[in-house]
Amino acid sequence: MTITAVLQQQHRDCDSLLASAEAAARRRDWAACASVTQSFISDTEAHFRLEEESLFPAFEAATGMSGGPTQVMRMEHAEARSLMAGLGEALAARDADDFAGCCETLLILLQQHNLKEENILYPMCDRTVPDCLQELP
Amino acid sequence: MINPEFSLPLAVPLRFFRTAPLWLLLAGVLFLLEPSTVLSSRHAPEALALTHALMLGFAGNIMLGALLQVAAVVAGVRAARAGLAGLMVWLGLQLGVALLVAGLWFMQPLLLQGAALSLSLTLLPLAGWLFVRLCRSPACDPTSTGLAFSVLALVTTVLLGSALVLVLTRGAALPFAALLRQHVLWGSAGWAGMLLTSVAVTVVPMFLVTPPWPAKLVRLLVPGTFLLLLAMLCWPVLMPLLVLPAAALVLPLWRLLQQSKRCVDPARWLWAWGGLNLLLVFGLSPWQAEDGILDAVVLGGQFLLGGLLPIFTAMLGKIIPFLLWLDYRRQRPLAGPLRHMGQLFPERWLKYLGWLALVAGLCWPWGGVAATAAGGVLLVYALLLLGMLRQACCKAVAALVV
Ligand SMILES: [Fe+2]
Ligand SMILES: [Fe+2]
Repeated sequence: MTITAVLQQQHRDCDSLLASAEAAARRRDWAACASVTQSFISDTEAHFRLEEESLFPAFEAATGMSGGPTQVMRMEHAEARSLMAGLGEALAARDADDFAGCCETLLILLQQHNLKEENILYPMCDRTVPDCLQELP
Repeated sequence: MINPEFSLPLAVPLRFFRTAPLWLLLAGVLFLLEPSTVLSSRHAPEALALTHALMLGFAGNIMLGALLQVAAVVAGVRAARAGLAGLMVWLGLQLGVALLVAGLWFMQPLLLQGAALSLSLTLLPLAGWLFVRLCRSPACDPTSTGLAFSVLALVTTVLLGSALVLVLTRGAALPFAALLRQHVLWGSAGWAGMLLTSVAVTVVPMFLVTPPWPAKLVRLLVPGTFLLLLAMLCWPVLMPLLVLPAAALVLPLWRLLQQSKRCVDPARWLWAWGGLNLLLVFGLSPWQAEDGILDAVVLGGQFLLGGLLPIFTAMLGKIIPFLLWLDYRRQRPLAGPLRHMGQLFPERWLKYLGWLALVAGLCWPWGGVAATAAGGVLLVYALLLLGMLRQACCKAVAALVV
């Protein structure tokens, strides 16, 4: 499996979780919302860490491109993290509108981020560091 | 290896999006000035002026803004001095549309020639540059490929339009009716249709969390439409086949919308309604008649009011607040008063615009008083959208100084 295929699937799985969390909040089903939000945040964090700690450093070392695309990706991860913190706050306050607003913003942020990775960065990684993810435990 | 540039300065797409409703407003006013003349014939100067205020002023601004934004995100394509280049393109487009609308309304040859010159000098270099950069981009997804084809259709539309101006103003010996038919075809099914298809392939699964489009279909759809349009240049009798790409876009679109995991999002209904109208218009247009529902003015108006308007509404209601929020977040990386984009552009605003677009599309085809009412609704829509955009921008600026 290519890097693109594996990580693209992780993106899709996170999207689904986020959409379920939003639907639960709009139904005011806070118990379901809390558990799905928890899975979404932990899966997304794991995915971000895989990129930041394994994939991006390997790509930067192989291409010498450290200030370019991976820097943009890291910045967008930070923006996503601040919205994920917003999800937690809205959940604690049981504020459905605020939760839905953070969800939608996060969804679009992640989607346009994923697009850049799937169309450009991952294919570049598949060419330059194809075995990078196989060395992982 | 190329170093992709993903981000465009916010001002570049926003300027196009904020100008678009001004042209819609002008179109609404022009229509209410001369409703019966416009409805009587699409060849009336007033009808031609109105068509271009809508298609080039309103739709064109939105499509160019979206094209530049999507090309940056999807294919990493961006000009070296994007801010300046974006401003020049914006200026050239507004000047060209203004000259064209005035030139057509008053049938002034000099204004028309100025319009053709301004639009050609603006759009042709932009299209050439985009086409080369899109072809060279490492991205080879259907959206990037589709954008390259729609840019080619834009070139064809501009060249055909300039030829029409030469016939009108210099009496150039060219077949007017055939040129006009191709100009309309390449502008609607080509530039607008192919751009919309390319963008839909990416944004529908993205914004509405649906399964992806059927892979083979999206690879073939835009190139197939392009080949069909080329074939129609030689054999106009093939026009009824236009329903095929429209159906190949809309039928899977409906299935995806049903499977969306965000079923409460009003954008879902706007896409579905817009798709239905595009299918109807492309299905019916080969059988144009002199009056009634198959009249060219009715079909052309429905393409815009029923097809493009709801879909543009669905896209603008997300893209603009998102870009404003992102720009705010980049200037204030740590927590501030703006938590999310819904604070800039609440979902209920999208619903108001959606209802207006629906009413306009439902009223237009019946002609007479109903069509005039659609013009009034369009005016309200334009004013509301202008107010909303203004308020969203003000809120984003105010949040920065808090
Ligand atoms: Fe990432
Ligand atoms: Fe990722």
